[in-house]
Amino acid sequence: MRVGLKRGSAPRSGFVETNIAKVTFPQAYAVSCEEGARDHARTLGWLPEIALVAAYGLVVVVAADLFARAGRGHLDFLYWLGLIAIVVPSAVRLLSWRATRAERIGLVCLVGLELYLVKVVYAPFTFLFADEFIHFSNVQHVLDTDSLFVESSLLPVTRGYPGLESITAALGEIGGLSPFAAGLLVVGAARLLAMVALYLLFEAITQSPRLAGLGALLYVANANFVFWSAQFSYESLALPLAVVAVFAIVRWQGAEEGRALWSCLAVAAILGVVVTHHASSYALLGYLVAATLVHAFLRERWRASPSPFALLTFGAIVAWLLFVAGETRGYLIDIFARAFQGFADSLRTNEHRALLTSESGEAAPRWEFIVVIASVAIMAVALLFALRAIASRGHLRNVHVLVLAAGAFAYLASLIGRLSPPAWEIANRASEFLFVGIGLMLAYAGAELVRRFPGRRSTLAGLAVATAILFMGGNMAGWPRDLRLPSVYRIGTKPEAIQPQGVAVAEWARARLGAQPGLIADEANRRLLVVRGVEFAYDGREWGVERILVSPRIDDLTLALIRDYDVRYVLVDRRRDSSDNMRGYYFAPGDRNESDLFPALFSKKFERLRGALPVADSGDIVVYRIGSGATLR
Amino acid sequence: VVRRYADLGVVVALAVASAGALLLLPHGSLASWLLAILVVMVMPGYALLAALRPSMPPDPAAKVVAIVTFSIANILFASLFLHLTGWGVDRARLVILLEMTTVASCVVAAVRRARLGPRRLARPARQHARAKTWPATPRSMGLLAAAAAVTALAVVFARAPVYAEGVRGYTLLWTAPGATDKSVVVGIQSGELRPMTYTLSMRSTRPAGSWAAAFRETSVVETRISLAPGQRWQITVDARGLPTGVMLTFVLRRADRPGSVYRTVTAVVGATSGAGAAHPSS
Repeated sequence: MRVGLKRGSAPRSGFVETNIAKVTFPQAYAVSCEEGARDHARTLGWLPEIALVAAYGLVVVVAADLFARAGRGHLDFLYWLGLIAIVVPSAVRLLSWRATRAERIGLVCLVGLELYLVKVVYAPFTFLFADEFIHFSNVQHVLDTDSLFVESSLLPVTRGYPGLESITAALGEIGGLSPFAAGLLVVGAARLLAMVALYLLFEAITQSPRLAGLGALLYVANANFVFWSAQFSYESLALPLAVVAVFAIVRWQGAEEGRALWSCLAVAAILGVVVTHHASSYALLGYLVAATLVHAFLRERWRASPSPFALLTFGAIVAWLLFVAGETRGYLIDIFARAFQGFADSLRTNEHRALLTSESGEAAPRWEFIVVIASVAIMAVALLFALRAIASRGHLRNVHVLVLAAGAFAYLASLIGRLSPPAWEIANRASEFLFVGIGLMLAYAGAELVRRFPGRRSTLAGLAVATAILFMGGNMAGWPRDLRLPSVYRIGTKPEAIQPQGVAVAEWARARLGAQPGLIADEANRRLLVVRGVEFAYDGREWGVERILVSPRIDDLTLALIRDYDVRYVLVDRRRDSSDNMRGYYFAPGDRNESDLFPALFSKKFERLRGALPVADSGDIVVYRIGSGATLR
Repeated sequence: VVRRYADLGVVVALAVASAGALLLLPHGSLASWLLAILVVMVMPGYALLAALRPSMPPDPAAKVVAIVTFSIANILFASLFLHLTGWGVDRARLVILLEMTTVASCVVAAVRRARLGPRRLARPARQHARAKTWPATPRSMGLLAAAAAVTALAVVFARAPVYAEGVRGYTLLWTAPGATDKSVVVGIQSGELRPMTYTLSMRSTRPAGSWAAAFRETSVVETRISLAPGQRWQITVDARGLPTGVMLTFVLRRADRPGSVYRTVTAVVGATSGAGAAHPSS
């Protein structure tokens, strides 16, 4: 492939230093062209060819998924081959000076959408990620009740953040789309919004289409991009809106005219974030406060300070917490307290979480360790290069570049948190916010390398390999190996396709036991039940319920708990996976061991209760009806 | 004048037409899906953008971002408004509110454009005249279409049900109360990977301590059932001849393993809220 790097075609050394606060967009656009982007023709360049390669990359991923779904093994190499075909050609092209702006935006959107489709084809029948069950059932509640703030038995805190649900339900109400189809559409639109907004943000900050394209593309190397950020969850919508808010503020800062539009866009996006997701709104507030402080420190024009937007975000968050989403405080305090306590314990006891080991205990192969370590090393080295590039381009007084650089360093620091199980969640979840900074820094570093060694194929090849390592390393760190390819969920038998026993039992329970039967179940089965309209008061994460479900025998305490919780039905699943909210929904493997199951006693113990009878039995799952005032036989 | 207001006219016409069409078209048809996407995700954002900046931003990418963001914010606040006023987030009210926002914003945009004057309105368009040139050649359009087709095919293939190996099938045996006090429904759902033949037997057990407790077990029914994967079977057991409180135990055996019990469930005769009885809850 021609990549447009010719000896002697390098841009002028250095960069035309501009003050973003004084440059309107057309001017900034003109400046960006000076870097070498030959934008006169406004052609799509290599976009069509690369789009075709990326489409075939998706086909390869689908092939890997189908093999896994047919129970014929995890063909990891197909998965990686497909992903590399989607990401690397675009990255190489974006390094070129010849790519037009339209082409760069097209490439960034292409990669974002194709990677979104990787998640769609992973679970093309229904939502199967843990958080998706929560929002899916919330949408169904909105559709059923025509009311926005619905109680969520799976995660009560989501009640106060109906942003995602309101859009999805609106599409369902107005067009008759199923919640699944509407959800896929909304998250797909959010993904497109994120990619374009990220490009525009980086372009507005750096005034360079090349840095913007590279930065937006390298953002996809964050650990959660392929699966977590593509799931039907409130953060998947809130994060793109937060990026739009920052982009609009940057444009508002630099605009001489039309400021009303950018301020209105920023306000709309900020309010959208606040009503959609708590953590995203706090991240946005953190960014705006940091930008305000740096702005003041650099003594930039007061008129262009982002402080009004920081104040607005703060006010909206406080108002929302006070009047609507009060339970969020306890929820987040609990998470952070556990994280800090766990981290402190890890330091004290010198016991760490095993890296790249899934919750089911499966450790990643050695080569994955090497790739992940290499990706972190590349990031660390690239940060140093990026700092040089920032200095040489005269961007050291650029408020947003400085804040994003700080975010990039914070990302590297947050990797330490992955060593402690409770802190891991925060470190992992923070990555999609902090990686915005890493994306930009990697772009600076890549562009700097190409500028220093123009026309060398070895430079390009090295950067292509580095991009692949960064992307693979991120994906490996964020998503366990056994979850990268789907498990068996729907089997194409004749005359009808069959679904796992958890689904069959859940559908039976909804039809025969009603909506509120007083049923307790483990984590995974509970989610399957809730999305089918069977409501619960308790689940397997609650200590007492867990005690009832997994204790080997019925003792006095278990009996007291059954009475206290007013349990009328118990769903017992012998599969240990059923307590895992990511793995508990699929067909059981044929070659499973006894160690994959809880002891038979675990289930049979309920037969010792007077009046307790099995009313549904699918082998691994048994539903017992517990009589009122349960006593031992 | 026509060119100045053409886009707004199209949006207003679409808003009015889509409001009617959404009420007339079958709910869930492809046309109603597309209209819903336009009504929720595109038109309000476009109209709001035009109202805020009558000349429209010159950059198409920024325009897309603004349209989608304003549309999302609009539906969020429309839903909040309907909820807080107690009207409820239902179809008709949502459509009316979204269309009203769209039309009102278009009117504001038209008024602002009229005040702006043709010269100022045309300026951004002249500056970015190049942006209006069609960026793609027939070859590149063909390649893009091919890429879209391959992507769509990949998604279609991903949805194709495949036969799986190396997994365990299952059979669900269940029981529930029937329509009357003295009837019980028993059902089987096959999730096995191949056709399966079963034998279902029922035995009644009188409650301990009753006068007939000595005759504890009586085999009443034995039925042979063949089910293909995914098939369901159910039967209502009329237990009028049995006293209240008798336990009916249903035992399922596979024809290929007659010696071992495959599944077992139990119901109690006459217990509307007893064993096997549903609790259609409050």
